[in-house]
Amino acid sequence: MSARLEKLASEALGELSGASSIDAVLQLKTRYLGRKGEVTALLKELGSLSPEERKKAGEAINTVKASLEEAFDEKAAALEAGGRAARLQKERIDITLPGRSVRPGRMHPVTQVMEEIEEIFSGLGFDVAEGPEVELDYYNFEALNLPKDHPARDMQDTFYVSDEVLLRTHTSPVQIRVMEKERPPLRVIAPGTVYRRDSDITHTPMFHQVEGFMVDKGVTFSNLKGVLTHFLHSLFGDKTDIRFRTSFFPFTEPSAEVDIRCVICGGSGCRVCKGSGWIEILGAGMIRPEVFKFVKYDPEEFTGFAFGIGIERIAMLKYGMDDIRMLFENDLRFLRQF
Amino acid sequence: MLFSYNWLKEYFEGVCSPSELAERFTMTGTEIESVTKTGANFTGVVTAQVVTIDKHPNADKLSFCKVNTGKEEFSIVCGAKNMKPGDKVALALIGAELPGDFKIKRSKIRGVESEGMMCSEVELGLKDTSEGILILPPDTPLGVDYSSFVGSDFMFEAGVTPNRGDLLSIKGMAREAAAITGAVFHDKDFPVDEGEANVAGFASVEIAAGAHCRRYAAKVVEGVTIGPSPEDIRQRLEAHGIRSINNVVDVTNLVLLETGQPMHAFDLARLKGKKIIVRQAVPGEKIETIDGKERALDEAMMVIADAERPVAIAGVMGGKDTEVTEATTTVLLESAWFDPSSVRRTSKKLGLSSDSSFRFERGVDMEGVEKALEMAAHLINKLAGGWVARGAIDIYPVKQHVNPIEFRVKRAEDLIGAQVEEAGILEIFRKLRIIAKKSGHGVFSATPPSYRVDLKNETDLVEEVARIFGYNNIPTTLPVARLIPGNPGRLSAIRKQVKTLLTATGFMEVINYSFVSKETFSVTGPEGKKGVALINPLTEEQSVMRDSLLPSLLDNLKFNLARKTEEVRIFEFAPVFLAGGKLPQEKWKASGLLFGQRFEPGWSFPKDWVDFFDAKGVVEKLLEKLGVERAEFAPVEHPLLHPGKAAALKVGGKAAGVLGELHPDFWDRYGLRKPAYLFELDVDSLMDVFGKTKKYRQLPRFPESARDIAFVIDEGTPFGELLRTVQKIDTKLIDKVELFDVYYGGNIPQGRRSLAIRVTYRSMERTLTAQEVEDIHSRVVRELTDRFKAEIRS
Repeated sequence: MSARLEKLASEALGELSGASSIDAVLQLKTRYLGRKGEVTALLKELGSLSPEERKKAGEAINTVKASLEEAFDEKAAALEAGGRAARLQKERIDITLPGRSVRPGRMHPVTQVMEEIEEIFSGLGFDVAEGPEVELDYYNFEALNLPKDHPARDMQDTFYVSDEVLLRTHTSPVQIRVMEKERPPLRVIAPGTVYRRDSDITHTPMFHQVEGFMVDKGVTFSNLKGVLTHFLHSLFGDKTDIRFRTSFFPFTEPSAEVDIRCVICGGSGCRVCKGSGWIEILGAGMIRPEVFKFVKYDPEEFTGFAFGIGIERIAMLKYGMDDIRMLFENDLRFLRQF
Repeated sequence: MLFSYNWLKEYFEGVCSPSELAERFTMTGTEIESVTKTGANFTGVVTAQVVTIDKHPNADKLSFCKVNTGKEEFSIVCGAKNMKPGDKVALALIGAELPGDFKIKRSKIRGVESEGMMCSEVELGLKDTSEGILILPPDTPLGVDYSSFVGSDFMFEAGVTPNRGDLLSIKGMAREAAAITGAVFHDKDFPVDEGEANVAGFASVEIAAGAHCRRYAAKVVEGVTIGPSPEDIRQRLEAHGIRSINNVVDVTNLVLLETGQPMHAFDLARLKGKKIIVRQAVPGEKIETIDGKERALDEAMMVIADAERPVAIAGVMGGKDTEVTEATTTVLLESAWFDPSSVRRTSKKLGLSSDSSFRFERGVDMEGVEKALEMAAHLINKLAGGWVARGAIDIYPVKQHVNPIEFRVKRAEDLIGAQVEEAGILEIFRKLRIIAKKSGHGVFSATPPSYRVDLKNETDLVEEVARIFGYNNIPTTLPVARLIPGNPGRLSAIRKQVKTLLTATGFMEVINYSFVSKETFSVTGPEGKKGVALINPLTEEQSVMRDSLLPSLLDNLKFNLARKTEEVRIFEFAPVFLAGGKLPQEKWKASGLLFGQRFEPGWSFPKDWVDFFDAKGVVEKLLEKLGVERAEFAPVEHPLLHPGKAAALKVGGKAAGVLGELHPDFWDRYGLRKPAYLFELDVDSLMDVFGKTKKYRQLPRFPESARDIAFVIDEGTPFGELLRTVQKIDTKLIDKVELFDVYYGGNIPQGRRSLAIRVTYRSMERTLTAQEVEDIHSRVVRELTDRFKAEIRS
């Protein structure tokens, strides 16, 4: 019997080693160890043996049975692991293929700069106001202390719709429209599209500005410097050098142009700053009493400052562009870059 | 304005370097755009004399010269023909450096050695053009470094602001330079050697009533000899952009440049009746101006006339017939003050601007009229000889009176935001020649000089104080204000939302010009509509304000397709302009265009082309984002859109936009071979519903029961109508109706289509029984079969 047992065990192990699938292993397991299996059959023969032999043979059979069971299980486990590994291997993908997503669009660089500016001023408590782009001469010029026949009108070449109606040349008319409706204290910015009759590498007939103004009791030129310094430091970095120099706008006095240290050359002089080391970034000043009179504010009671920022110029500096016209060609290869 | 540093220095003591001066000007309100060094920009060039000129043995066009510097003789090969033996020339020796990095080396030209070069003015960088080599005056000493003859100068290009008419002259700039640098300004004197004959015997002047002229002065010089001006004067004028004409005309221009007072010289012999009458033109009058053009005049224009006809357009340009020519012997010099707006109106109307009109428009010093006249007489006498008639005619009915301005120190401090010492203010006033008298505690009575026509009120003086004090010396402080956050306003808020959603959906934002061509404007119809047109467009392409953003988006599509960008999803958020009213109506639009594959082309997405429902989906998402709950889409006709694939959007019962496929008639125009989809939404209509506070709705507590129905129905029955009908059967128990399949063809007969919907039943109050669901579902089925003639498939 022990000889048969040994033979059976070695046959089983032999066959098991040849088994290549879990199914085959399970079949073998049933064939040898199942209720009707060959090893089980040996157990059934034990009855014909003497009690002593039975005990010995029984132990031997159980040992073989246990070791076979372990071998089958091990083999099954190994096959299963191998199978999973193979399956996973088969499921492998080329992770270097490009990812899939809906490619988001982009806001126009002018919008991006405009929103950045709006955010800075919103943080300082400035409201946002808007006004018409086709504007009356009165709001664009007259009420801003630019009477007809004034040579300062030459500073802004104007598109006309009729004698009295024009495309606004700056966002300053919004100042007048807001002040006509509301009383101080006022802190307002007016972003918008403006038009001038000019077209070359640094000028387009349409461009964008953000106008800003603050009117209250006790607003000073020193405050104007404070607010604009904060603004320019927020936009260009805290270390940016800023200078204020005298200028002329008919609706402000004292008037200033504000320059920042050239962001391209750092002040040593280059093509962008025309060798001066400074870049003109905005115009500003204290609102003139004449303008207050148009909107029926008492200039002895209230003072205020106003400023105007050209958006395209800032976008060009920020992104290192040299031709403003690119901004309005709407070439998607260009717009994708921002 | 251009001005010479050397000329400026004639008015000074102790002026600073050109770069320091430029910096001071820029900081105090007159931006110096450039400073250019002019004059000698060469080394190693000496004066020499041509001794002999022989033919070059090997070249017909060259000559072989011996040139002597007084110490040494050089052999020079030369290509020019304009010299003769004995001429003095500028000789560049071996080792000389000329402008443009040009070094003179010993060289052989056609086999003959040349020991230098005789220079032209172009080669020396002195002029832009020249004919032949430079021939120097016969009295030129030999062997002298030629750069010492040329001298050097700096030309300043200044951006003078329109308020500072007083800076449009050398003298004005010098006065300003003195004020901003602390240098000492000296005025010049021009003594005139006058003859016996009184000017009154030569001519008379009259200012007619109603003429916009407050002062007219004249002097007469007789017996002048007209000829070219000396070289230094010609050069000075040319450096300042004025062409030399003759000695008398050059003097008038020199006076204009130096003093800012425009001058005119008439040939007195040609003035009819020896009379000057300043008057408004009579309609129908004409004049030929010195530029040779005939100009029609009207009563808004002021002229200088003689007894019969206009002889000059006052302050703008003189007349051809009375100009100074070689035949002139007696000149009448005009120095006047014309009203700035009158000159400007005339100049604008004629489209004629001159150095004179530019200055009159910006304000000339009424008190400087006489001094300029003296300078002119002095110089003409010097350059053209003759005798200056005794005295001057000076019609000056109401003498200019500069009113003193009350200046409050406290007001200045309140505006500037800094403490300013009274003594400091007085010192600034002194530098600016503003006469200040103390008139009360902290109050001055300040009288500006007559030439500062821009200083009219207290604020003007505050700016003067601030700019001389220095803006950068004023402290930088943040204002004190109420702690209230900024209010973005509704338009700004909705704009942000729209842009955010559309970019997130894959759209690129574009910005187009608001003006389009007339032809583009007409694309959106209807024919003959009235637009907002510009009177003075830059080009026809930019002549009408657009009334729709769609044509611009289509142009963008065409532009990008031409650059091989074939996936185009773009949007624009901008106003359109509708004619009518005092001002046109401006309506904000959010418009988009889709062209290309539904998904980004690549290895893993289906390559389907976008269709109507992609566009509609974007619009629906946008409406959802803005908080629009009920939107209706109805078929519509639109000139740009395919008649069967166009929808009008209604929100809250109001028209709110259109969307659809581009009409195939337009494919060629935009170079398309596949359809493009467009939408244009009316932002104002959306604004009404935008931003409403959202209200919480209780989540369902009872289970739902969903049933699917597939049915065949006439193709012409709009799904939207069917949907609304089904929803209305029981608004309480029908929770949702969703379309999940649309099928044409196969076994479905022509003209019909198969739809499949899922109806979800639910009560918010209890669990519906199977019977209740069955009852209502059969009502739905009945409605479909009875009302819509649907044939139920399952």
